[in-house]
Amino acid sequence: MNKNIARFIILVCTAITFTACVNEEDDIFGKTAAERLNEVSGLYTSRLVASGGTWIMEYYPTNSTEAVLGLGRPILCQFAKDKTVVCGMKNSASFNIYMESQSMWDVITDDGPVLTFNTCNDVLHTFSEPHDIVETTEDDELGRGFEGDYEFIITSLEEGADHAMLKGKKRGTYNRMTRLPADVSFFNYLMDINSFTSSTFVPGASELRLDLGDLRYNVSGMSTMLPMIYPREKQLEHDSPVYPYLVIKYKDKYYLRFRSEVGEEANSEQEFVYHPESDCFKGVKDSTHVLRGLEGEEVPLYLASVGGTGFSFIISGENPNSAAFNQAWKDLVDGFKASGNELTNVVLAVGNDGKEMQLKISYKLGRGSTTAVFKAPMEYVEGGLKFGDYTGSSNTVEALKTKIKKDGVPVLVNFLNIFGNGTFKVEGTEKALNLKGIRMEKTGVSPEIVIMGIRNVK
Amino acid sequence: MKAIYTKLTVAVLLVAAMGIASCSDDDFGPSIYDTTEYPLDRSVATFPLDSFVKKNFLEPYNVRFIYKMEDIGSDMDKNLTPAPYDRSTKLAVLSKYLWFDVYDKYGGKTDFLRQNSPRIIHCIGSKSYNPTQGTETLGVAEGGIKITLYGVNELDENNIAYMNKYFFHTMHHEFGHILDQTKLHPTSFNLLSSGHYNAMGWSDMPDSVSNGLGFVTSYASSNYSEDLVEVSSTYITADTLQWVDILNTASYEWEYIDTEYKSEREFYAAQDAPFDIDTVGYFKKSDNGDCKIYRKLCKRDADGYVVLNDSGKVQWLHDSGINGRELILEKLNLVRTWLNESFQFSIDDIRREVQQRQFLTEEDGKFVIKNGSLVNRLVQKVLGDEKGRTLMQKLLDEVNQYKELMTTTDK
Repeated sequence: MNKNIARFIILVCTAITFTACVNEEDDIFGKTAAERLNEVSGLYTSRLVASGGTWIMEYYPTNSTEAVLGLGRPILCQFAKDKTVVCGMKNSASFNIYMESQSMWDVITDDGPVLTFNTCNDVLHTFSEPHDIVETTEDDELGRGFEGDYEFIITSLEEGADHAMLKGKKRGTYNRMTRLPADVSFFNYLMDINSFTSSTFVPGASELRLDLGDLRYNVSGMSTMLPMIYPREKQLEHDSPVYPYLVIKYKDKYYLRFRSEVGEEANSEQEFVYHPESDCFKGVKDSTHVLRGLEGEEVPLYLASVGGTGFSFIISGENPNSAAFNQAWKDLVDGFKASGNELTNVVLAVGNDGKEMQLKISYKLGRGSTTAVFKAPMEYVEGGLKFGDYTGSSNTVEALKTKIKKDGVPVLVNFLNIFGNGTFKVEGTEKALNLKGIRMEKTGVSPEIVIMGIRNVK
Repeated sequence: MKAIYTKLTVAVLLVAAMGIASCSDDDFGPSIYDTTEYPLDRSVATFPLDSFVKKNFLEPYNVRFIYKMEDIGSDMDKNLTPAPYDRSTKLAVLSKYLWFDVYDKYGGKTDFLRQNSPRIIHCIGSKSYNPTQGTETLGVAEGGIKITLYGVNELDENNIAYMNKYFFHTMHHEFGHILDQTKLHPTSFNLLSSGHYNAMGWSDMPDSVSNGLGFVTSYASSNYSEDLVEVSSTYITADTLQWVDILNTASYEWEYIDTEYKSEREFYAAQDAPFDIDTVGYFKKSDNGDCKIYRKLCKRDADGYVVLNDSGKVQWLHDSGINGRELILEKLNLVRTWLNESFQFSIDDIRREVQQRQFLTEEDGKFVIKNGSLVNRLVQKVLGDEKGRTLMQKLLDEVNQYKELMTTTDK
């Protein structure tokens, strides 16, 4: 009996002991966490390399609003299955010389799916290097550099999608990537978007207008790539909000995307597409949202403001002016000829913070050439500009007469009188991002005087 | 009945013991990393280096050689960048050749490094600046576990001085910390320069002035812990000529004085040529803008001009009571003893081996000297090598051999 008890106890103990070794955990998920993470890595890897793996990244090193750190940089990347990546760029960080570099990449899972450029890439890591930034004049960034990321959390990359959104791991900037054809030439692509950007937003151009439904904004300094956008009813201030942007080309269209949304709630927009037929950008989310040049009375209003200072227009008999003005022009040309000189150029310019009209008349004087400048007060009147009497010029009509051989150019007085003390209805010659010319129609005179001025771009 | 209980107890204990034994199926071997299932993708472009570091660091020593930079494994307060693949490859083979292989030979074979080497070597491409102090961190040893090497972007086998400063010296320096963290050094070392350590101002001090105070480098004067590992790493990596130069410089006492000159150029332009740099001094501008002249202490007249003796020689002075040369040698002796007793290896053996691996030697073992310097062996052709390779190329072929195993992918 006792033997049986003993056997029973030993059997029970043995059973309990070995049961304790049985894996008690149920396979709730079917796969281990490591396997699931590897799958995620593989999934995003395959999506990145799909269709040739070529992308344009709109890269912002930091969220700064100041040059140089705040500038966006278009960087082309081609991700290969062997985990090599080729990056290319052509911007001020590469001294506007095309630069290309190959390194390694991977999708790791230390902070969600993370795209990392994990060996040195001379293109992308330019923005992460702690060296002093060469393109700035001051030696004050040693140890910091551009401060940009090279590891990005993939916040969105759907199957077959042409867009991916990356979030810089340390700086938190959002950097969009857009898929491009596999065979795109990096150099040509960058030349294309750089050329488009620089010709569309030229230095010295007028402010642009941004219409977002009921919200109206002025856009200043597009050519700097760090434009300031402020409500139209307000003045531009040194601390007006800055909206860095980049232009990319996707499916033969140019897209302009600000680093952050402009506007409020329903009336907000971040990305615009260029419409060449109307030379403006229309919102991708809402096509009634428009980024455009000056229109209608905005032209004289702008010319008669601080922003208008420095704008100038070439006036010539070859422009499609009215007959009366063309006659005055012909008389002026003949008058210079009769005095043994030659009229070369007439320019109408804006000076003194938009409060002054300057008529600059250039002519050949013997073997040399000179320019006589006639200045008159200028102000905005409804729909146009009003010029006052000529004032305090170093080259008055009388002075000019003495400078010109023989008896001067008597008809010059008639020509000057067309402008002085006159009121003109002024508008742009066409709807355009850049003011290309103005049409000036003198009011209250007969016969009709219409003067066309072509924007003088230096 | 008692016999039954006894048998029963024995039986239960036996079964329990079997049960416990059957549960302990984990093999606590030397590796904390999985060396058997380490995934190496033959289609990835880095397969050769991945294979090399697995074969030469992970499997024998349980060391991860990380060259694909992991930013979470770096100082997140700094802006740092990864190293290029080709330079990481060079650093990997040099780490093996000038560090692991050397300690394998003289430091107690593989077991010594298994027990004492860092678990992680992390390569960083960029330099690591400390903007507020105006200094640069060359490397870091963390908790005896990890060594971080900076500046790999500029690794160049032709520039042995740069490699010595940034890598070889740093490797031995940081490894010294790990050894120190494993077995404490004698406390008597801490007293040798007590009162002369300067944690804040060391970066403003030229090395020569520090030598005169008994430190092998200025960084050694920051604290006794750095002093210890600077002695060992400098002794191992500085070539014979450099080491003698350090000791000679340390034989003099130095002084530093304020100067009205604001730049090195301005200062030296004001001196009557030719001049003796030791008595005129070295110009140094600190980060706070203070300008100082560091010069050997000698007898001067009231106007500051050097007073020569009857033989026309400069009369060097020793006022501080510190004999820098003797102090450095005393520190070296303590380090030598500590390493011998704690780790059973000779620092002199390590030094000789490192030197001979770095610099060209004659058949009799003497170093070749050209233009006053030792000759970089890494870029010299290996005698008898049928392919006519340099030593560096031969070392790199240890990585390149894995290319044959790669599978091509459709990019």
